[in-house]
Amino acid sequence: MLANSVIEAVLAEAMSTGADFAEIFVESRKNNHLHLIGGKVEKSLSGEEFGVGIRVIKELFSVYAYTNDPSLANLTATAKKAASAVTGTGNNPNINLIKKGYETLHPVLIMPDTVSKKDKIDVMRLAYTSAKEYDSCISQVSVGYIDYTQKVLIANSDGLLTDDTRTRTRLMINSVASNGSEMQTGTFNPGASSGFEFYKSLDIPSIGREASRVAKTMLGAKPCPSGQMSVVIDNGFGGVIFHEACGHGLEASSVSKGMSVFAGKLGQSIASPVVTAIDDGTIPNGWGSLNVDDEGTPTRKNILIENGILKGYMIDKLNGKRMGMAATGSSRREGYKFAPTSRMTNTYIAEGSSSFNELISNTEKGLYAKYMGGGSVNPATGDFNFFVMEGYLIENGKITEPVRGATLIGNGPDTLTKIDMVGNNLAHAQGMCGAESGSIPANVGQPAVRVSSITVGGSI
Amino acid sequence: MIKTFIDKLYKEAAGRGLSDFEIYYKNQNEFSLETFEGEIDKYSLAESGGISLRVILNGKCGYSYTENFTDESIDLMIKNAVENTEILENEEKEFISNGGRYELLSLYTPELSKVNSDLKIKKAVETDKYCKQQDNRIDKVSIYYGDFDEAKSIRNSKGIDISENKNGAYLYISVIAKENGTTKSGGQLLLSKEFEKLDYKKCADDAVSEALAKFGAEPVLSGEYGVIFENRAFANMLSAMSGIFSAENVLKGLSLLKGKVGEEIAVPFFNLVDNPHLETGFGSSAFDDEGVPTKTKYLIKDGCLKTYLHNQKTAAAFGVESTGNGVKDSYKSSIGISPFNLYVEKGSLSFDSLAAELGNGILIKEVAGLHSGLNSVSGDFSLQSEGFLIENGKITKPVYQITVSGNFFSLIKNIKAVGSDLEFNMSGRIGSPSVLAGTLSIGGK
Repeated sequence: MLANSVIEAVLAEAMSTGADFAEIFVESRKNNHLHLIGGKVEKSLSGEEFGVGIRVIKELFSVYAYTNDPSLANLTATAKKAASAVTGTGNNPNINLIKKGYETLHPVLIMPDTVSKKDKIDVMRLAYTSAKEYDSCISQVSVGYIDYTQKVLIANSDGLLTDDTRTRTRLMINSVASNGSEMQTGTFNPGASSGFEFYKSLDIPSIGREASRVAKTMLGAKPCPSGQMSVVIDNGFGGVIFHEACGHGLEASSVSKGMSVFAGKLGQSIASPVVTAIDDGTIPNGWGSLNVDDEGTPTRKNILIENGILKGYMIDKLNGKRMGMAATGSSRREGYKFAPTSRMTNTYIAEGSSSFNELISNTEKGLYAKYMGGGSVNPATGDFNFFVMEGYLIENGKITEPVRGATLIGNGPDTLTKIDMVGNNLAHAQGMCGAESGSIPANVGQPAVRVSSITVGGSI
Repeated sequence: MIKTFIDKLYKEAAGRGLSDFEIYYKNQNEFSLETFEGEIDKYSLAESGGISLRVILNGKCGYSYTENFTDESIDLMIKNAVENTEILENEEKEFISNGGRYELLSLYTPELSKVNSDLKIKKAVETDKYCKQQDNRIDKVSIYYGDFDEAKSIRNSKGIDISENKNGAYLYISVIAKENGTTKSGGQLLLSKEFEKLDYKKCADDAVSEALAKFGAEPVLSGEYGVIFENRAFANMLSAMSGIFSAENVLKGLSLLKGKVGEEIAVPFFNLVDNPHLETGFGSSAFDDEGVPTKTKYLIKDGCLKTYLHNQKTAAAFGVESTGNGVKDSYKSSIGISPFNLYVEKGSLSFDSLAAELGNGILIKEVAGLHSGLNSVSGDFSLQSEGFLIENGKITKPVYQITVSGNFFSLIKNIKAVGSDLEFNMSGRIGSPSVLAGTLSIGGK
């Protein structure tokens, strides 16, 4: 993507004012986006993003500059501008680039650019039809399809030179049920770091029908109760509870500055003993997976919490320097317009030993959250929220009536100690996570878990 | 270099017999810095741009875009855009605009681009230290400063060749305070077109006092309460709901405002405006992303729905003129619909009068989880909130770990009063005064 001689010249310029570290990130990304609504394809877009990001670090101070023009003249000028923010004299380091390669853990069988638009549309139409025909109350269904291939090249003043190719694809199904005066929705968005073969492994009609089933159920549901109660959160996207309650708080981005409620707690008990949580960037073809992170460090399986004890954080190079700890292959960025920082990849609560039925039958009175929407958190205070897309009352240990969505709120450290049962039906789901270094694909996951007490923001 | 690329792209598209096409270009120069522990921590500078080609063939519209301004891209862009038109099935026609008379707006402040980065750093570092000194409970401070310089241009096959420049700056101060094992955060945002108008000290004082005022916060008992939404909190909700006014959403059965133009959808003293010509507005523009001249319009006047927001496609489908709201989310997107500067017109009551009228209830200062806890299709919302109790017309104890739930369509039909304290939210494009809403469900203890 960029000649070694250009890379070396740019890194040398970036180091010329006495920086400790310089890095160049080159990105070329080809995207396709299709949208179908009301049974008709109405949007088709494709394009290429391209740019270079140059980062310069001196002690704990970092400068980031980016540009679209990859010419040697422009890149050295950009590196010079970035380096001018650092005051000092360089020692003209000899940068010896050593190319590091690897075998991909995320093989792509059918590259998206070898697939005709018609074939992609057939997949979308299958989802549309199964969702629309589910019931006469389904008034509208929209289906989005995206695929992209992102090629990155990373080099730094320590001599690292590596690259990675990430191909991802996702289907977004949104179903609307109406009764003339009200509307409710159901949404599913499966995706993977895969090629078009992903859609062969997916039971698309079943997902389409499920989106409509949720919309229809919520249309006929009564409002959700309010107050503190036990909640059983089912598997898959239920994992957003961990992502918000704890995940962001374990990113070195906030931990290193003492701006996380989990800072300084390594080795301490921060969750109930039934909680073991992992962030694993190596899951084959996982939506949040990558061979190397966006600083060129190979990804790995990081045990964050083991039986309730905090074992590790997710750490990038710069924050690792601040903490005196090694990087964990957790550095990510949306693209060349962002400096990288520690983020999640595929995060999940590990399988426990209880059955789903045990979780419900052990709950006298509470809420069953079958599907979750998204959420957000303030890592400094630990206050977080996440939304129940489809809920049911639990009465006398049995699932009874459906109730409309409500937000669950809590404080991370407190909620983690209240997860008192963990089921054995682990599943993962796909989401987009937004933070300092942009919007990135991330998996969330868990088996069904029970939280003994959490605040439910219903309306009765 | 970009100008040459655009010229070549234009010539090539015309040369291949395309009679309806449009080239859209957006370029940004951005600077930002962040402090930590009284020192500059991060610093970023960037220049980037992108070009999008829209082609209309047989009434169908295809797009392609690039950031790779080489000759090879030209052929690829045209080929892709044309291919993209071939698979479309929607019936609504798309159009290339003839343009029109554009409002003369002054959106660019030359002095802002000349401010030295040393001064920006100095002010930020000084303010970081100042915040730390205000109270010994202040534990962490971060000062975020950024400015941007943006150019947008459109050249199309009907002869439009227009461009517009704008710039602006923002200052966001975030503080974390700790006391007896409890952590609270506070923040304040300022937006300005002029560097000198950014009052660093006041911004710092607001962020610090906001954090400190939260100590001792507790949830309330779940139940129904009268609620005041503080200006920026309401602006954030309005922003998340703004899709209901999009004619595209109405056309597609995704807005409950379908069939309601001319009907009363809010209380008679609720007025909602989209004003693209506000010179201090961060969303302002003389033309939309199709090159159609923008204009100021009421979406809701005296409680009645006056119009949807349109682009050329939806306008034709509804048999009306475009309202000049054809907007792309980014240069990569297709033409969608968006307001420019959307705000609730201010009423005559001061905040204190709203509190007096409420008597007893809750002031909501912040809402979180808008992207998941608010559904613009159903209008339902259930949002994490923070604020204060209002007792006998006065602000008393802080409250947190509560939710506020309701339905936005009912809410605007039950508003009791609109304040006079209009403020814009973090985007600089959506604003509202504080609003005394009717009774809403609060989830807590």
